[in-house]
Amino acid sequence: MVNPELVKQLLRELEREYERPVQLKVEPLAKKEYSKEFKLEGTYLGGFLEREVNVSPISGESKEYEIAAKFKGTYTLKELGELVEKIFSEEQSPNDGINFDAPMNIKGFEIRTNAIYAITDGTYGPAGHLVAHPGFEDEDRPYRLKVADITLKLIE
Amino acid sequence: MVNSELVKQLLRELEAEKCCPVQIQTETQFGTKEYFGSFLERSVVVKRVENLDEKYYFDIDLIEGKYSSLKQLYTKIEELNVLFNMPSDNTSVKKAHLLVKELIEKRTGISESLDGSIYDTIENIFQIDRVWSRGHHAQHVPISEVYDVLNNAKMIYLKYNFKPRPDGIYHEVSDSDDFCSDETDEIKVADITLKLIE
Repeated sequence: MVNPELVKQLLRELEREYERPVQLKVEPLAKKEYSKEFKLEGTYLGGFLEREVNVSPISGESKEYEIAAKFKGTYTLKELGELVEKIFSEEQSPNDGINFDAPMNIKGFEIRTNAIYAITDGTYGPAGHLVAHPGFEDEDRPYRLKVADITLKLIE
Repeated sequence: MVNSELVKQLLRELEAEKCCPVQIQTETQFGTKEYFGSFLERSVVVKRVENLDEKYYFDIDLIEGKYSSLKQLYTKIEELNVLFNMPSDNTSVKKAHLLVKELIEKRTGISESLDGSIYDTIENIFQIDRVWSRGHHAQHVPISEVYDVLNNAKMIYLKYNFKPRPDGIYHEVSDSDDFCSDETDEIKVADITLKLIE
């Protein structure tokens, strides 16, 4: 077990230098004899997933923003992932058999370390705020809409 | 600039814990910033594996030994791997391609420049010849003639396609019986020992 104070000290110095949160990916050169699928496995020190994050929803008129307002708060990224999944699933489930308010164009939410995006099919939503998602084909018409900012907590 | 002694101390502790070399990547939300203790910068020793097939002795003799960095070893193998590398600005690869182009033209009348590696070109000519002539003609260029041409030009080169990685050097073997196959297998021919952080 490495000295946690040493790790913290290094992370603090790096975060001061880069002026933003830093995580350290530790890559040991584990020998895998005659293994074709050689790759460096990494573990993290000061990993972003374990950090507390502050979620600040962006104001807006559409359903995407309305849902994102419920993400406001301070959590770890892991907890945030669970919360987003839970809220989105509740929003999708009609409580009276027919859900006229269901956000049919929202395909899900994507959590990054600096923001949350609503993934929509682009059929409607606020013009000018839609960003084509590079991970999908054009015909899928998916779009990303930034609905919240995420601020990662720095190492103390 | 972070305290380099702090970085070294952490690397030493991690290497003692994991019992192997360790490198650290610093990552921000926008990607990797830098490496600490990068494997590419470490000095290395290359040693053939036990019970190595004798067919690799010639090649291994060319690369076994100590290097000031893993990067230096990669560069050396790149320079020696003239038969398997694509045409490039690398002087030795370029020279070998010109020599083999002349040989192919002499043997087959084909005067086009080589788009792929020398080995693939020779292999393709052999396969095409085998299909069209049904084995009755020998218009293909035997690899032994390629060796002769390179030897006469006093070139030093690897006969097998060696691929180095931080954990060892491997012979990448393609399935030459299957013309359309991209399947490859590999055989470890040498161990690489990286120096630990002092």
